[in-house]
Amino acid sequence: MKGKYRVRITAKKLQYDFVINRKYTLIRGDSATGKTSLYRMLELSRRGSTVQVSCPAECIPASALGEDWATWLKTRSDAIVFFDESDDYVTSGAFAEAAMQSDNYFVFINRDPLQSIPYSVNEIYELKSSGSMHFLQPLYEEDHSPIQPSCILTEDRRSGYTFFRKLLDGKVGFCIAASGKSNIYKVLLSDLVKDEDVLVLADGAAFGSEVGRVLDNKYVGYNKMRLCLPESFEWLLLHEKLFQKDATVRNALENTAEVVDTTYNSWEQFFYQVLRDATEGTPAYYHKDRLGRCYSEPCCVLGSPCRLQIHSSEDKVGDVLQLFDNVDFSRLLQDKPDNTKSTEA
Amino acid sequence: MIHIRFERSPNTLIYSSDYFDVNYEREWFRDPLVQQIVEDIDHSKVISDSVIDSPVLDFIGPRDLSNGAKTLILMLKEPEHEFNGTAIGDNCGAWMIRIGKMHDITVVFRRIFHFHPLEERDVADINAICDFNGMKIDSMVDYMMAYNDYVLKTE
Repeated sequence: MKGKYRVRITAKKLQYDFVINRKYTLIRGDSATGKTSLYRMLELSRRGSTVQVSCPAECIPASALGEDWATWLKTRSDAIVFFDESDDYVTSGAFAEAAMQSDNYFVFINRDPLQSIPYSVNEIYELKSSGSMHFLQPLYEEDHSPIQPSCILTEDRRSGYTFFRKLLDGKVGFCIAASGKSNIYKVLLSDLVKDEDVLVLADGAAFGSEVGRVLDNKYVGYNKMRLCLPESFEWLLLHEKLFQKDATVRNALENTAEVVDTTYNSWEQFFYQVLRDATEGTPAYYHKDRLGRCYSEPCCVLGSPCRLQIHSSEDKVGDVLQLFDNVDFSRLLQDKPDNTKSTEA
Repeated sequence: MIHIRFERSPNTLIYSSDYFDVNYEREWFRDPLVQQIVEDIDHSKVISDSVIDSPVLDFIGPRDLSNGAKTLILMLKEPEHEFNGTAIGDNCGAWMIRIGKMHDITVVFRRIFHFHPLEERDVADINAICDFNGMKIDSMVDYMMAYNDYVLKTE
């Protein structure tokens, strides 16, 4: 199953109209905004009532899955399954495992962080209404506030961390690896970044379970923090000029929702595969555990003829840094003779 | 006072909506406080014991109220439960504070509940205590300090 799906649910007094973009979608927000009514209308539509559901995929309330939801999720395909707050089993590891192997889309009407589900920060919504018409509005807006970071906190300690660590080598700025998305929050509470201006870099495609509490860290204000959530680090690298002539990469970046199928549980996994495919057989072949110099240094002749080769004057790192809106890296990149503050969490 | 917990126990009333549906009492809806909850949270008016006028759904019964309104009514009428605060919206916060000043309630939050928005982080009216560490929670800053202590000791 892949693609975007427009869902329209219509009854005399209530209407819903929204688009589902990816495998996992979350609906949260205040009480009494119409979430439970949405679920009830889906249930009523299956009883032959006057509720009309219009969508290219079948829209199913979880109550229709029966007790053996695991078998249903495994054997059925191409449906959008809606789970209400009362379907508490969605918080379990067993459910997450079944969902990840399922060829269906999932809509969770749930305020629990659902830490085992790799959902995107861009697919968390609240219901808004205009009269009787209800629609989805993103819960988190992209942060464009200006920042001049003094340190970078990366989600993992592999390629993303390696890239920025190398960039900051010999500079005044420093880079910290959180070693996992759930550790970012704890690092932000630690003395390592206390009173720093922190640029937090995480994979937005799977950061949905953490985004709320990381942003809520502003309540205590231990540090000035800007959360930058590109789809993934591989998504950033695919914007380098190395790939500007690769039509498959361009299509993957520009029409992601149309090409990602449910075998990928997040767009992070998809862009990883796109980058692997685009670099196969070249010196730039991508590994999460060791980032080759092709992504930050001028092209060489080692892999000649290399299909990715670009002019040696092209600024590869600059291609990546310019994707960070309103982030002034100058403070980080000032030279210093003694680079003593580079560290890991 | 509100007793705040960050983990469920076997006693947590996870499905407060279902519990409400089979246990509510008609006379509760004669209480002006219940009528105010229905009005504030669901923007609906209690007409009689079991009839509520909703601007969207027309005439509905108590079972058709939102999960947030049902949970607040239970907090008011049956405060002995351990309530699932994760499943109710932030717009229930003001009523939770009000009920917590009338009698003790215990609420479990598996997410950060916004009693107040960021710009009101120092407003000190929550009147709660964190059962995990005994920290007093009056403002959202206090709430976050208690939550952070919980995270650092348990994750």
